[in-house]
Amino acid sequence: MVNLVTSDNESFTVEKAVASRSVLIKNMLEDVGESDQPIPLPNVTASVLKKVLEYCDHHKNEPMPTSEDLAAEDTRKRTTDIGEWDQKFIQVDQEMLFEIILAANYLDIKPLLDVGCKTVANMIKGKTPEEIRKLFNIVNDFTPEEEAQIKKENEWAEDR
Amino acid sequence: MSQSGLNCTSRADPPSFAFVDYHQAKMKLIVAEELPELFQLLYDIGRPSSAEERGLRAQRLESKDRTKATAKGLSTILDEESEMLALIRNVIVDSSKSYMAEKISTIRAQRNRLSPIYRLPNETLSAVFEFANCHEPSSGSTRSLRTPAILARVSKRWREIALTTSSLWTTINVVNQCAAEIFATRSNNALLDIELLHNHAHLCCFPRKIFISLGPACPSLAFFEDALAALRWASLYLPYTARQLHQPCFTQLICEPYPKPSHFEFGWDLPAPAMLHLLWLTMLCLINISFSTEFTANQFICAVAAASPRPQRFALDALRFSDSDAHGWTSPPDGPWETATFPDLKHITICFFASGPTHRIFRSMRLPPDAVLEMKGRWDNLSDIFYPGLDFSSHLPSILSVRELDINFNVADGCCRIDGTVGGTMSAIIIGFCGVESVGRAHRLGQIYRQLARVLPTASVEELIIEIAPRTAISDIVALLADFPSITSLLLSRPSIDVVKLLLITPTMHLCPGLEKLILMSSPISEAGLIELALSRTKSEGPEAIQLDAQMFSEPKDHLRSIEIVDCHQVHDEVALGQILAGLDLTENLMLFSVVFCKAKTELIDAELVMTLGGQAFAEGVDARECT
Repeated sequence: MVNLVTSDNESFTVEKAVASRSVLIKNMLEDVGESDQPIPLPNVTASVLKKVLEYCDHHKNEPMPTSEDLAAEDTRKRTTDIGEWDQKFIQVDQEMLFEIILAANYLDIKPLLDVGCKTVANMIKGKTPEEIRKLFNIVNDFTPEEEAQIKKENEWAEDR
Repeated sequence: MSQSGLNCTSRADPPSFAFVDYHQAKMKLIVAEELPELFQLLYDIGRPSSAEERGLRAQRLESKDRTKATAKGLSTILDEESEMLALIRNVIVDSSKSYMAEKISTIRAQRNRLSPIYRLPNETLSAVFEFANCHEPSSGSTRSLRTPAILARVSKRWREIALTTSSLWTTINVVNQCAAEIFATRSNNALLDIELLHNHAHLCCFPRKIFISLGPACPSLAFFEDALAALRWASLYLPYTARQLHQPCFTQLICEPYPKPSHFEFGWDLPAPAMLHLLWLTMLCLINISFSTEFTANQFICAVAAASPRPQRFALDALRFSDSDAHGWTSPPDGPWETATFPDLKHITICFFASGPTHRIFRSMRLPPDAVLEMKGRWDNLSDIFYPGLDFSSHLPSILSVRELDINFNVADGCCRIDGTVGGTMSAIIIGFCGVESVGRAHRLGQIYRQLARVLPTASVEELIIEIAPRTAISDIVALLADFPSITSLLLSRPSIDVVKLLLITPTMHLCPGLEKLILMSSPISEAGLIELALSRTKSEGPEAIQLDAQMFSEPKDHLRSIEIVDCHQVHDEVALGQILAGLDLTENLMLFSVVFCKAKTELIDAELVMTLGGQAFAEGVDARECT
């Protein structure tokens, strides 16, 4: 078993197979060897780690993507398809969604990072810039000059 | 002035009369004799000399000009000063505006930091963008060119990330020059998906537009050639290649081997394959290409195979035969046939061949044993594909699977003999006929029916569509259906009452035992006939089938579950029919049974009535009809 301590000082004891879905933790465990020392995760809060561990637990028996797999991944063949369980898992509010993505990035859990990124990508797809801004609470911070320049640059896309 | 002869005394002394008289006489004389001269003298004295006069005139003009110049200079100066002031004012206003705009922009950028998505690092947001831009194979379209542009318009940070994510900008539509240039710049050195795709609305003028886009003077042509020559392309999609295109473009084009190019399609006209080094292509589609003879087609396919020996997918779509070969392709008119070898081929698609003998083309292809053949189209003669009199398997020994086969026999022209076999499995087959009006030809049709099972793996076909030709012998239909034992879905077009009756289950005959869905189109079947059929195919046939266990409910494979009736004019009252069927209690096997009535295919939506038979469900069906 592995003991993980979150930034808000909460402790989680999980199976090694579950914790090792994180490449960061896996490497730590390999470096430290067999030890009862808790592993501090200063960038992850308890609520987020709980979700991340839920994901890791569900996928613990799946093969880990190898570095060759990742290197061979062709961005052209990517899709935004998300498995059924993952879709339900990632149905959280935006705040939590981005926290999960950040945690997956920090903990180096590529499949979870992909699920998060795909979810955000699916939210973006088919929307106009204004709709995207509204969705993510972003304001247009271009100056009028920049705006005019961008508009001119995108004339080719306007009538299609 | 001269005063000779005139001695004037002081004005205080009055002159004497004699003196006055003298002077009067003298004055008269002077007036008479000397005054004109005097006047002339006076005139001359007041008048300047010609030199002086010119000088004076010059002085006057100068003075006048000076005055004018002074006024003009003053107004100019004032104008300049006012312009300067306006300029200064504008500069101040503009710089204030610009300063304020910058400030507002900075404040807004700061405000954007509060957005939860801002917390994502650049590389993660970049990955999100890549997913948002990725091509969905199910959509059947290429990647949208607009997505990257939309992402780059959201905010400054998004723009910065989008512009530095090269992979967003790798789809180059050469026809759209503006976009092509922007994308080409932003893609840096990433591999490009180059396409010549155009809005279908402009299809009619497309070749001309291509010519304009890719004319020698056009910069995008230079880019296009550069990109290809520089081996920056991952795929090349040319759906509407016209003669104007490949003459300036492909005669100069040499693509040396590169590990990545994987997808190449060209249609209409074609460049000579020898000009294209396509050694690393994994997918090759030849679309809508015309040839003068089978032989020239064979030569072209062999040339393609030589240029691109390792495709895994190969599609021949709408190969046509006409008076001449496709532009850009010349081959000797005759000579020895060559063999095209595709050792890595996994899937070959052959679609929509126009009429003409094509079997020799197929014969000349050597494919690996596990390749899958997918065939779609309408052929006048099955022997076009399955060479008559020859063992098909010996010529295409590798083709194990035909996923879908759509054949339209032209019985009038031939198809007298079908031989050979296609191994493996097949899931669907559509058989249509034309030219079978006479009895003699109907006889030939029977022969075709009987030969099909020898050619095709009919035992595995689950979906069968047959257009029943007039005067077809019932025994031939029986023979045909008997060859398709795995049918679950059957569409019979124009079946006579006798043909429909073949589907009744009797002690001696049980055709299509796995039939679940039956569609009858343009059949003279009556309501009574339909009831008889429904009763026959839904009632349990044996005591063992009456078991109402859960397994039967979940896997109702042995019974008809749906009948669709399209354009059957003898069925007048669907509601009454439905009530009769409901009264027959067809639901004893707890299976959902539905009847769909359609007046004609074109009225499918409006005229459709679905009745789920049995109790309450049927009543709901009637309600639905009334609503309609």
